[in-house]
Amino acid sequence: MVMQPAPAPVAMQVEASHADWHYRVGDTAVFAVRATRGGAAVADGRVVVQYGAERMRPMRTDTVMAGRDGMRVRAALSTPGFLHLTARPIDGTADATAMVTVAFSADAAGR
Amino acid sequence: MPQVDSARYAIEGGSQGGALTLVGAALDARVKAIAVTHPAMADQLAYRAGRAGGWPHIFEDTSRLALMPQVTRTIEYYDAVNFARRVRVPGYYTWGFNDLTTPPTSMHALYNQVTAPKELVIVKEVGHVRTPAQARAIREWLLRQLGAGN
Repeated sequence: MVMQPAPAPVAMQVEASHADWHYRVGDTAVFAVRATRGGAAVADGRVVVQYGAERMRPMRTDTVMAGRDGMRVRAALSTPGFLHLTARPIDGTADATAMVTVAFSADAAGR
Repeated sequence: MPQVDSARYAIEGGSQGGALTLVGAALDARVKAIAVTHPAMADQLAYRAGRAGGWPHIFEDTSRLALMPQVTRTIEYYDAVNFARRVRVPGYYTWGFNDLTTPPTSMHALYNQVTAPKELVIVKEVGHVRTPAQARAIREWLLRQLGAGN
């Protein structure tokens, strides 16, 4: 009997459109979400993307196809604070979750 | 203690230690400079305004606000933001945006209330940890503030 090696796990990457992760209220953040396995894009994997103001009820939770070129997610906050976005393979563990937390008018947070 | 130079006295800490650093600086005039890493206990009642509050998130379940009125009154005093407002010495503040323990919303609510000279260094990918680079930067900054830097 020949044992097949276990497939490499799916890895997620999330990149915010502003390199410093800072936005102003009124801006829309755009997140590039990609799923890869062994460095190659996973086109047919299903991914759960969730975002919202941190520690608040999520604004959206979507299950989407990863796509060969990844996907774009647009999100914004209407008040100063931080928006937290996670992406994970639908059958992945918490370890497979990629996250990014971006600021919206951080200099006015709490005021 | 003869080995202590009380004229050059700084404090620093992270998380709960970050909150205590602010308490110490606010209440003890001997403190000349502070460094605060990912402070806890900041803006704890923010959940009643619909935004993330600081660790330990007692009121993330907002139904507790009505059940624990004495606790909310006590927290209004012991909240780290209350002490941040009273700080009068230079401070170095540093944290990451991916901190799931002390939310950046709460830490910036605190930082925005500091009127003393302040410097904020964000290491955006970092969670609730202090990197070796942050630790080095804190030490160098504090030594400069105390006139002991190289």
